[in-house]
Amino acid sequence: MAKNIMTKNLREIRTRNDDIGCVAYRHVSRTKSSIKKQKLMDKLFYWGLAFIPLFMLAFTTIFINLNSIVMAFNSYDQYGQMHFVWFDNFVEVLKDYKSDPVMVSSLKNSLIVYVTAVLVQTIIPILFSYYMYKKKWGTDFFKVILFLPSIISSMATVLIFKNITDQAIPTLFPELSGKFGEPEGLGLLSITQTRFPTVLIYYLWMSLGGGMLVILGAMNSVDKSVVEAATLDGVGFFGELWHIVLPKSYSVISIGFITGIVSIFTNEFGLYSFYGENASSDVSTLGYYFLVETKRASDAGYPYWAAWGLIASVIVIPLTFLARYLINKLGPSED
Amino acid sequence: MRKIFRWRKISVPSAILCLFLLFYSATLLALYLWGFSTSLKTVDDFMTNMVGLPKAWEWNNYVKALDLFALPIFKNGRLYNIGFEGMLLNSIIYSLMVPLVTLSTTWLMAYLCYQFPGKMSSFIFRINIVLMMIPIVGSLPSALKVYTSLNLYDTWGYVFVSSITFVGPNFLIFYAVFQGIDKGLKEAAQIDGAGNFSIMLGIIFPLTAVMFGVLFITSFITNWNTYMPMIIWLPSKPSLAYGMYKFGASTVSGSSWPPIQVAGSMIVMLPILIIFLIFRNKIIGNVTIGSFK
Repeated sequence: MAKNIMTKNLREIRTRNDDIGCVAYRHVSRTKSSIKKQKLMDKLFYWGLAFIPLFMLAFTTIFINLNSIVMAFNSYDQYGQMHFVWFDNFVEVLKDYKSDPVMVSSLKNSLIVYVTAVLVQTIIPILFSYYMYKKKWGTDFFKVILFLPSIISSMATVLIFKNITDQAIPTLFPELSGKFGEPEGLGLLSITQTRFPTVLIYYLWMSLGGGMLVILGAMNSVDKSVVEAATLDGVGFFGELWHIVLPKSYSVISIGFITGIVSIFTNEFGLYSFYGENASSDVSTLGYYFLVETKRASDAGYPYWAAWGLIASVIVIPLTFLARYLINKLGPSED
Repeated sequence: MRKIFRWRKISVPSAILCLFLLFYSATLLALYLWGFSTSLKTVDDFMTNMVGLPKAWEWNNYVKALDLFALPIFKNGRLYNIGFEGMLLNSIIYSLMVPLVTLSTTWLMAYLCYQFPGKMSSFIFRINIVLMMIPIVGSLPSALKVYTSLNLYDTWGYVFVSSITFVGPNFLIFYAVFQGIDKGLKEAAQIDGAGNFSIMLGIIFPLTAVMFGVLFITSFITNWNTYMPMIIWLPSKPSLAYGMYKFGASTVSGSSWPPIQVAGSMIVMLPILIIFLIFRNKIIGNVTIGSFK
């Protein structure tokens, strides 16, 4: 009797186990198929959404730049037909760099703007940012005021500035232009000797604030306890800046040096807001010159400017990487 | 007494820096205040009293500036006159479209890279960094030629298409924001049967909406003030900033008068100044967050 009951129980258990096995097997196979389905859905989702941005990336970075390279090796004839001209456009650009007075003057001005901007826009913002990092008196007020040039239309600001330099100043000091050997009543933006320094000062004056806030952001990432420990050890105001804060925020500060190199060829220096397309060669920069000439150019002129851009890229790309390497190698250590 | 004590605690280097900052801030404020004061003068008052406050506050200058704020536009063989309202509309369309399309694309690509790690996502992440580093100069002639041949030159279509990009520091900002989100949220939603779209739009987007909003406002301000795209790409769709440029260069009687010109610039400044003052903490905070390598 007992044996029969045991046999019956065993059979029931086996049947039940078989059922569980089946269920488990079915569950596993269903899970496998649902995982496969989920992966397929994920792929569809991923590619469905990423396709257009990736296509546009290929279009704007690969296609347009490849087209620029093709254009640089071609020229258009009077019937609008393209002809392969080897390096003719490049030779012409390089000749102009030596002989064209506008190009030579623009190159000189671009280098002056770059060097001055790197020096002024780095040293002064570091000191000012450090003051705000230490949360000294008036920090919140200064933050708002320094941000104003970044948010207010440069066109509107330039218009006010132009009215000061070319309306108010000549009226208040009518003999000023005479001292530079020019007819009386001219403003600072019209006198040959003063127009470049005036635009440069305006440019530096207006761009200090934005850089300051970025550097302040980098300084804020420095661990406060390290600074407090240094203060307790008797390190002074500038000692803390030089030995702790500056090395720790150096990576962000150095970006200005690196990205600034390309600005030698691209920075129009706000000249368009001052002079439109009519800035004289003594204030022109390469970025401004390229912009105005490309805008004026017809189809026939594009290959020359494409070659110009390509030469600039060939100079700028290795220079940028070299600067990056040197800055990382020679920069202060956090140790 | 306590305040005086605090003043005494300021060290000499701090005091010197404070004075420099005060001087710099004062020069900036003086420029805008001079502009505001000039915008309220009559021409005669301006010629005789360039630095002082207006003798009579000529608010009518603003009305005159609005009336004279017009540009002749040549399109399809016809000459149009675009007034202040037209330029305002163009500014609004441009300043909304560019950040909306660019930030949505950037957000989306950062989200995909973060949620679906793999070879492709890693490639997208790296290509973004490489393209940020490589300075490509002078593709403008080629771009002009290509977009003109696609009939997109001088159309809103160009603005839309060229805004579909994710290369830039905002990609890294969004990626960093996603890294701060608890991964368990997505898993819990998946167990509850939520699909990819529901997770992306219903769970993750609301968590990053504040950052999206801050970047949107910053980008809106930048695009509101820009005038180069109108000069190069959209000559028949002048914005207020472009109109300001033309207004400043005008030699027409009335619009060439300094008080009217400066009143025009004050009108262009005003909307952005209001937006900035409302969102200043968020915007300045974002610059702090965004400044990482």
